[in-house]
Amino acid sequence: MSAVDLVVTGIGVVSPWGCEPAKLRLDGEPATGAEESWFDLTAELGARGYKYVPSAARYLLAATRRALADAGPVLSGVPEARRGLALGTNSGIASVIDAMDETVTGSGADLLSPARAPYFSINTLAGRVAMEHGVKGWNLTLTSPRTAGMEALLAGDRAVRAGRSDLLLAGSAEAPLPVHTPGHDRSEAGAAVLVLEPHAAAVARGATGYGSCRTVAFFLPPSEAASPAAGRTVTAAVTRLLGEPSALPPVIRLVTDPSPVGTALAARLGQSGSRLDVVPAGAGTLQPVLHVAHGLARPGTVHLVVTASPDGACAMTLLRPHHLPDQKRDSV
Amino acid sequence: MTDTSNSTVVDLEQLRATIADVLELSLDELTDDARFVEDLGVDSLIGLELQITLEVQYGVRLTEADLRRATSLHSAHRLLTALLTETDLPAPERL
Repeated sequence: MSAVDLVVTGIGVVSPWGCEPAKLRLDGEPATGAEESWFDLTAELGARGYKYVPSAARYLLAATRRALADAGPVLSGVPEARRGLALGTNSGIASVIDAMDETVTGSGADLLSPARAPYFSINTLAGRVAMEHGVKGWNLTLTSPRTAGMEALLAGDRAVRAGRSDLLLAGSAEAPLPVHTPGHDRSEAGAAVLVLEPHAAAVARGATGYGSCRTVAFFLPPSEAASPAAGRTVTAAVTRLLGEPSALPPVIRLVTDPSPVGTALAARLGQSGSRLDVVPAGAGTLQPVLHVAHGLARPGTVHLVVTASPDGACAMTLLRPHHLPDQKRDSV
Repeated sequence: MTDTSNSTVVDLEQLRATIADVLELSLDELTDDARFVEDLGVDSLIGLELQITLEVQYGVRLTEADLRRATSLHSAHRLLTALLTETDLPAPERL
């Protein structure tokens, strides 16, 4: 590992699948528990100041606080202008926009809630976190279907390597889709945030961390997902990630659906000789990132997380968790 | 302090509950004379939220000048009472 390679030194999760990264219950169907059963706003963020903050931003703020607390005093060593944030989300503000539309078409735009109005833009979820933690280097929100959370890891890694910041917060946040929206029954809720910093910086401050992760993203045209050309695309992506196409780890977790893209990718990966666990995807970007968080916090189960959307967006994240005894991980 | 709690136009305790909810305060914290900005830390955005809420709940239109006068629960109550009294008149220029 070179000094510029990023290591994950903090993980924060709030979700219906659990809030402890090493104990997430990710093997079953998408979790749909009522928010009250897994998210205590007052305990996570305090009794005041978040009434008008959308659910996804609340989750993201809480996960970020948990991740930074887990990482230790990393912010104090990084100037605000050297901090970056990358977020993936699909339905983070869907309900907010839906409610605004209802107000505008009903009682009129004059009655839009001024305190909620700033959240009309998808970028404001990450912006709210940036305000709270002084992230002034750069701030990016990605919205690719299903893959955006993992793409946030990729884009953030590139930004740090390009010299734009010395610290990366990256992850996913989602809130349920409106009830009348297709996909509502598979809605995701919650957030997962990773704190990443250059290996040399982590060593310098004595942080052990969880290990590293690397992501590649690629596209499989839905109408040609099973074609030889698509196969070459997958092989090229694996090669970019691992150096050679035959070096896939023994366990692969694929978060997807029975769409042509998901089916074709499962078939390709299934030929590798690795054990392939296919997990039903929800209607958002969160589950793949939760699998990344879980794989780092509880090493030995999954080393490659893959996701694919019906639209053709695909991403793979290779996990390289530390294997040395780690008091921090045990305490998670 | 002027006692406005007997007003039949605007119930003071109902107004206290409404404003406390908007400002994320307990009823005890929202005393009659606590100043919204200086004592309770209300910023301009929440001030606008309060304006919209009061307009909807009481069916009035609040101007910037009105908001500058409504600096506490007590003064807001007095303002709303005056506005609602006026709106009962034939010329509803404030609506």
